[in-house]
Amino acid sequence: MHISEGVLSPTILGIGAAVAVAGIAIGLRQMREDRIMETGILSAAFFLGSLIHVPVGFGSAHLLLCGLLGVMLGWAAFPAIFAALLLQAILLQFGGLTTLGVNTATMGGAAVCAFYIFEFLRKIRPGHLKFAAFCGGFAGVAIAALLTSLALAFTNEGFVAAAGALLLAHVPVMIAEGLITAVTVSFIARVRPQMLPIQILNSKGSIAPNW
Amino acid sequence: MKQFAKNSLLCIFMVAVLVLAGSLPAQAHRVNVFAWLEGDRVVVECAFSRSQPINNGQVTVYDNVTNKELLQGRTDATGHFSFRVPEIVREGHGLRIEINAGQGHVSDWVMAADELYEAAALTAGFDRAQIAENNLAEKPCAPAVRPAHRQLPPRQGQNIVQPTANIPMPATPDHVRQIVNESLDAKLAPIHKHMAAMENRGAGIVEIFGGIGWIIGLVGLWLYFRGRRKD
Repeated sequence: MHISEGVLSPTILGIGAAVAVAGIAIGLRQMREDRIMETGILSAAFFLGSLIHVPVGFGSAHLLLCGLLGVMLGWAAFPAIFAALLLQAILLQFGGLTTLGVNTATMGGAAVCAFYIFEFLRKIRPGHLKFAAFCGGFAGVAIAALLTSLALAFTNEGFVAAAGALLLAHVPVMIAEGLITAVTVSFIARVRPQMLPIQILNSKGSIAPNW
Repeated sequence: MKQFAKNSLLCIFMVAVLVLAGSLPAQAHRVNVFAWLEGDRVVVECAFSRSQPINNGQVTVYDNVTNKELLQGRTDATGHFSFRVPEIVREGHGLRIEINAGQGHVSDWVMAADELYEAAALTAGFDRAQIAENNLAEKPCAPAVRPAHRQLPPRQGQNIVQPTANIPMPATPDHVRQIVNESLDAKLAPIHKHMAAMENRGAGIVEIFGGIGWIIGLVGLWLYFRGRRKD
């Protein structure tokens, strides 16, 4: 879901870059010192994720992991995704440098949305952590597809066509990432709950990241 | 700090498991386009990776100088599209071939004018040969000259140079050029294929480890500056 160079108009590129800068600033401000390493490692996971092709279904789809990053990192997913996308553009020629802002905005935005969905579900159904994580991972991909289509809305492809093609191609990826996120989060909640951005043991549960 | 190191190790383990569970072959999601000359036609190959050709992708050919759209087409199931070298090349203009695979996947390939010059010369040569042929045909018992280089040269695997008709003796320079060009096309086809494969090389282990190294390095820098601020 990397948008290549030369597809988008300068206006869209500018808006994307502005959103990306804002997201990265919030993410860096919220990042606590002892979470920097985890942020980096999840960034590496995102970097690798796009090399893992999901050979089911239509079109050409790979793992995105923005749901996992969102659930694990909250707003800190923004700088993590930015670093990973930058390196993907330079080293692997995925996407491009001019579209880096737009791609960061779509993927980071999806990650943050996934985080709030995870938080909301965890709050209303405290006993179902796995379910909330699955929804977070699943929704991360779906929202990324919608945001990417939104960025493509003003090209000659149009929003509806792009959204239809992207959502259809990514159904297997949504399920795969839902499962990956559910397994990862429940595993970490069991063995090392302090790694999560939220306090699982706290029955009150707050929307704001607790770190 | 010990806790932190443990956390980090756990994370690294997770990433490793994730990558292995994904069972590489790593397939890149880059749009590859490569074009080469076969006789007087340009062949375009488009793929996401070597094993994943772009089916029905939209190919648009532009004049590289004036940026005017020259022609459009769609790739077949093997990601190939071919077109005759446009006339504009004779004016020394190069071609820019753009592939749009949809959903924001666009890439292009530029063929410089000198790369195409040979084809333009060939076509011009053909026209002269055609005239010569017509002149010959008017005379009785003249040997028929078949314009073989009008057709696509044989693909790889069937590298048999087509018999270039009954060349009248003595052969004209145009006929010699025609024979040499055909033969060269057949001989160069595997090299073109090899070059396309090299262009379409996916992400290698070097890029992957390089990227991870960069991310760990950025984390180190960030921690270093955080630490300095405290002092």
